[in-house]
Amino acid sequence: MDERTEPMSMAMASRCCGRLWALGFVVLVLSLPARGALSGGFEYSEDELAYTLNPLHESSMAETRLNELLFESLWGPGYEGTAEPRLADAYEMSDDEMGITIFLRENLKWSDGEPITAEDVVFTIQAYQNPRSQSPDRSRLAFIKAASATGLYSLRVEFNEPEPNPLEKFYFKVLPGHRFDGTGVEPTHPFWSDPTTSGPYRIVSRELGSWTLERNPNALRPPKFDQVKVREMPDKNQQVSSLGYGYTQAVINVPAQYLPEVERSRTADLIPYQNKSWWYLGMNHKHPQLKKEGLRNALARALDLDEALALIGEGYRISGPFVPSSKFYNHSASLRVLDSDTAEAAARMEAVGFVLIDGVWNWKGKPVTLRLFYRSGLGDQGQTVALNLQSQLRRFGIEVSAPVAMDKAVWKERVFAERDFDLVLDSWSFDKNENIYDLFHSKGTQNFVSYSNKDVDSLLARAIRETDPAVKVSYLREVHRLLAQDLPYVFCWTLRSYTALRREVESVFVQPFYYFSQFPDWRSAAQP
Amino acid sequence: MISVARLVARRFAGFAGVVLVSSLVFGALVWWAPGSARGQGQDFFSWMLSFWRGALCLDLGASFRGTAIEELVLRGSMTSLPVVFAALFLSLLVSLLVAFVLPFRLKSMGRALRMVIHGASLLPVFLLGYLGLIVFAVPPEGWIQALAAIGILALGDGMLSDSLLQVDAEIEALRERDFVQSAKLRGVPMFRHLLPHLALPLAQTAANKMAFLLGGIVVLEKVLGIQGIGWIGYRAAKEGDFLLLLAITVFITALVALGYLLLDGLRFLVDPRARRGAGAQVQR
Repeated sequence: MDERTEPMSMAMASRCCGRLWALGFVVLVLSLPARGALSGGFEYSEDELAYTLNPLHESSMAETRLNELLFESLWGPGYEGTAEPRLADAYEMSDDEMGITIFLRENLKWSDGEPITAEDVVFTIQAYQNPRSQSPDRSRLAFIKAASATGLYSLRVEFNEPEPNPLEKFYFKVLPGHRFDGTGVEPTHPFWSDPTTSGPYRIVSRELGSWTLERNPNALRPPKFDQVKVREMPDKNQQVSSLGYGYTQAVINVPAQYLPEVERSRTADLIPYQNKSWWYLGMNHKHPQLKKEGLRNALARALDLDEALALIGEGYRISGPFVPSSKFYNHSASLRVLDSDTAEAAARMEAVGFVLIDGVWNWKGKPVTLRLFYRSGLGDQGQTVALNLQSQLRRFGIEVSAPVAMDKAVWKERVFAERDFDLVLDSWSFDKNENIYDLFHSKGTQNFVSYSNKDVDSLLARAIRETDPAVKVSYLREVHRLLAQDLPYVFCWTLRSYTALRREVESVFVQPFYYFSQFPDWRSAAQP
Repeated sequence: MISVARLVARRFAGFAGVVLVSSLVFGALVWWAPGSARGQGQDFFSWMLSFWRGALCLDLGASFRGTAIEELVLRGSMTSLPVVFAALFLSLLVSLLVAFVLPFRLKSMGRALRMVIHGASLLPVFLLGYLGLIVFAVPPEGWIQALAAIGILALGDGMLSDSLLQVDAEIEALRERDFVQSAKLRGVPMFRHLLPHLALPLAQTAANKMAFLLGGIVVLEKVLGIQGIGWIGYRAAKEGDFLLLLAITVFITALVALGYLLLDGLRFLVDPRARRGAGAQVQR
């Protein structure tokens, strides 16, 4: 039987092979990447999707970026870095600089067709200031004493202190008052997922891992791209591959290990994206041992942060809560970044009563054990650094649990609400104002480490009220000095960060902190 | 008839028992997991009871991100299950074709092809996923992504290799049987003659591989960014959305147990010995 079927099988084999080749070719053609698939749409990837679309409750850069596409502010950062009017049309400062009358552009509409009025701005200010709203940015509006509408398109804002140059403080997003029942806006208010917008786009669909925006017909600044899609891609590999093949047009933060790959690419460019952010290792002051400054100082000296930084890329070490390029950074020689010095760290441990037994530090006869968490939004870099810090502290003699990643929701509950942690690794990002009041004031809304220092409280309160820029700088440099001494956090570094954009996206302008502030002007090379 | 009813009832009881016990085990894990809300004032069993009440009424409440849990499970499974079933089908189909066609038709290529299959199948799913992303430009959504996922699942983690070995073993065992020998002597086409006898072993293999594939898709969905049940489960674990995680775990357990239940049903329908066995068991 085999002999009879052999010639047949050869013929069949060749026919089969031919069909397989044809099938393979079809599949190959169909699976060719959609290069230059930019047909009126713009797509970018984030490590973690925005959790809320309500600007009142935004607390991550992913949310800040998305809200730039959805909402307008009274003024916004212009190309020159100065405030340019958005919803505002004109203003009049009072002679004593204690108030401002703002005139809005007339006939602007929300995405649902309702008019944008002065009442909306007043509502927004009151909502931010209402403690029931639990806005992390409450202190940003602490300079406002009162706000009231004086007409359909005009309002009067009174300040607590004279404000010679207040426009940059009006970068907060304006909310549609008609969508809310009162100024106390809970984070669970349906607006978080179904917002009415004033910006270039409005939400059209919300999938599990992506948000799709479409052009807002009532936009003040009509964008060139019809549609924007933001997609959650926790895997950086997928982000960079998708950019390379043209499925997405931007990767917001390119990790150091992918920089050469993108740099070699002929389809995308790297653009510096400095967002005034810095990494820190927060220490819970409610912990019986971590509340001792000696232990915190010892931990900071036991860690070789240069080693940890080298694992994830390039950056600049910092000694306090500002990036080195900030005017508030205290460059005093006495405030150099802490170098690793385990002998000094051990001496400080002993000075506050810790005893080293069999290579393990003990407190009152019990080994010191700490739990380490990091925010999952830091991605692979966070995991790498957290594991490195854990191993360094273990080598030093402090038992640290395996680092656990926490998503923002868990983070808010466990770190912010319950304060159930010992060490946390995360980063803070700031806008131009670099407001650290809420982070380190004893009553700050984001002071989750429970740090308290009366001098720092006083300086922060004075700095936030201060209208003379030079005096403000001197206050905050002093705050920097005090925090570098007290070490509520181990201040780690600021990374040199880059964003990558496909070359077919033109007229790109990315500002520090404000990624999409000029997005309406971005365009596709294919567009006329 | 009564014995059949009893057997069916017993099988259903077994199915329900597996799902219930697994839900208790996973529920306990979730209950004592760090950061768990722990039922907000309820004790463990009241909490489990309310979970089961919710599961039966299809009202498990909202996830952390506000969407109803049952809706998330449904949407996730609508994405993932077709991929899993298609991968299962593809893997078995390729195994059958290779086992049947190669020895008779393409003898010369057979050995080489088997080596390629066994070699490629050794690659883990996540690695194939990365290869798909980097080399083959698998897009972040659409039918090409789905096809890639099906292919990777059907091949990776030894799936195709295992299926092929099992099909080979079954065919080899069948070929030794008298009725096959006599059929062969009479010149009856082997493929058609053997296929009905392979139905049960293939179903057994499919049921065994079901849990394996559901595990694989969790990894693959993370790598390729497919928004299916694995991706939702991964995010639920990351976000500490324990109720959603429990619902997904129980759903997957129920699915696997259902696979075995269906296998029993098929065996009962196809194999007269199973029916006789049931009667004998009940009479005893």
